[in-house]
Amino acid sequence: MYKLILHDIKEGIIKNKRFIAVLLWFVTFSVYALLFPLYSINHKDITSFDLLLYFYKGEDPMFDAVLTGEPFEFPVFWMMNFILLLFVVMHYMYNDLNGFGIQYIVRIKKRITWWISKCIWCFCSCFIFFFICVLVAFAVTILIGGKTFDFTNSYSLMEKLANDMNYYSMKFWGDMEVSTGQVIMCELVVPFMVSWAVCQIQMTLTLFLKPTVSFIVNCAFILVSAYIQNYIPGLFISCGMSLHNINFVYEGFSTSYCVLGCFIAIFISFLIGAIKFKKYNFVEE
Amino acid sequence: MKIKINNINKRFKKHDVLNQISLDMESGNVYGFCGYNGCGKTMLMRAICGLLNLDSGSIIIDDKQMKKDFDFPENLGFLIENPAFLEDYSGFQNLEFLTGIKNMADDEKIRDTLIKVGLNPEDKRKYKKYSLGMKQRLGIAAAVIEEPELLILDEPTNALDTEGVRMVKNIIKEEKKKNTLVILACHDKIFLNEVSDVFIEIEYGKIKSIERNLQNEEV
Repeated sequence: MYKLILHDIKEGIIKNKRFIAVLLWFVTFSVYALLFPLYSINHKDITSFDLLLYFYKGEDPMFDAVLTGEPFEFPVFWMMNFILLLFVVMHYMYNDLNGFGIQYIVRIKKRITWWISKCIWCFCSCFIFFFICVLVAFAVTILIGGKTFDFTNSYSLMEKLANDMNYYSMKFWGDMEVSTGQVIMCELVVPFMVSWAVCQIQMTLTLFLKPTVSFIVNCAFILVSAYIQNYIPGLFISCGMSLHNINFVYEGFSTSYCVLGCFIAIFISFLIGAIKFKKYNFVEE
Repeated sequence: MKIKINNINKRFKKHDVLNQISLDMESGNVYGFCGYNGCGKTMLMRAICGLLNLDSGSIIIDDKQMKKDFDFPENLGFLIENPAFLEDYSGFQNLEFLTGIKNMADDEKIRDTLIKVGLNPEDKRKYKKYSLGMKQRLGIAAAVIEEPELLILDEPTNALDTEGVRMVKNIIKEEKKKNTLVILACHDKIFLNEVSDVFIEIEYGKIKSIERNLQNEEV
């Protein structure tokens, strides 16, 4: 199986030119953030984790915004992170299944081996995506003379975010004490887990629908999660909004809830995919 | 090797692509499938390769049932529709990669097989630069390189010139001598007549007729 995994990493990641779009996206996002929303903050105070938080912070939920009468801000940048990742991984599995992959599957004799390999590839793709995200955050903070290796969030950024937040009561004004470990969990691990879960679901959906259709379905799922949070259990994607973590806001999700939800989603998705693939027809229907 | 197909059925979108097909085949014979486009030849080949999930019926190979005892036939070589390979690799590299899965062929064997199908093993061109005929030849090479016991060829003469067709004929005859069970589909009736031991005509997903090729037997 390791040969198949290496093959998938080579063909599906190293040769995947869409990762260049990921690099361009995070660079553009960083530049935009520094020039506009974060312009008022002294750039020397900005840490690499400030940028990571900004990439995945999200916005107030729409339902709650309506309740308070405040305008709903669509989490465009937050959604784009997930949509871009789905775009990167969208076609590889399907193309392999309808092309060279058949040669491989027939020779290895076990369908499940191919599926496991693809799931590992999915995890690796998400990892590389986040590696690029972190690399850009670090590189940009080095360039602006910020605090690159300070694994906390700056006072200036947290003050700005607390002022911008309409509904959630940010602990910043109260008793926020977030350790380095919690910062890493909220701003890196949880968004990564959510991204991985979303990609795994996309892969499983591709066994039922064509890649473009499953991409649209997944995007719709992400969109709904942006609108409706807290009230519908299982819409774990909204956990991917870092600022909605209980370490930052009183009404937030707990980190362990997020991580557990993602693991459950990944596992169920893997199982459904394995069962579906066992009966998959290698033919254009 | 003995293949026993027992009353298999498969339906796609209200259309019976395989309809109560039963068939017995054994090693050392060449079974030639013929029929119009869309009659079910390729579907039947896919079913035998293990690439289809049948609605009912069973395929038994050497007393083992497909999907129950195994997912794919042991030692299978196949060429179904347009062969797909890694585009950024040469023909040699593609075969090297495929044979590396089961380690059933070394570099010398790869070279010999490529020469046998009329390709140059030293050709560094990538697969995406190959002509249709070259792609077809590589597909045939991939099908035969690991000395399969079961060889399935769907329209192997597609895009081949006269020399290529002769090559395919020779390969089929060689495989038959090695006691391989060969299943092939072809629209070229003259070609089928020259290589097949048994003609199987398929119509609307059903077997219309099975005839031994007496001409081939006499030869």
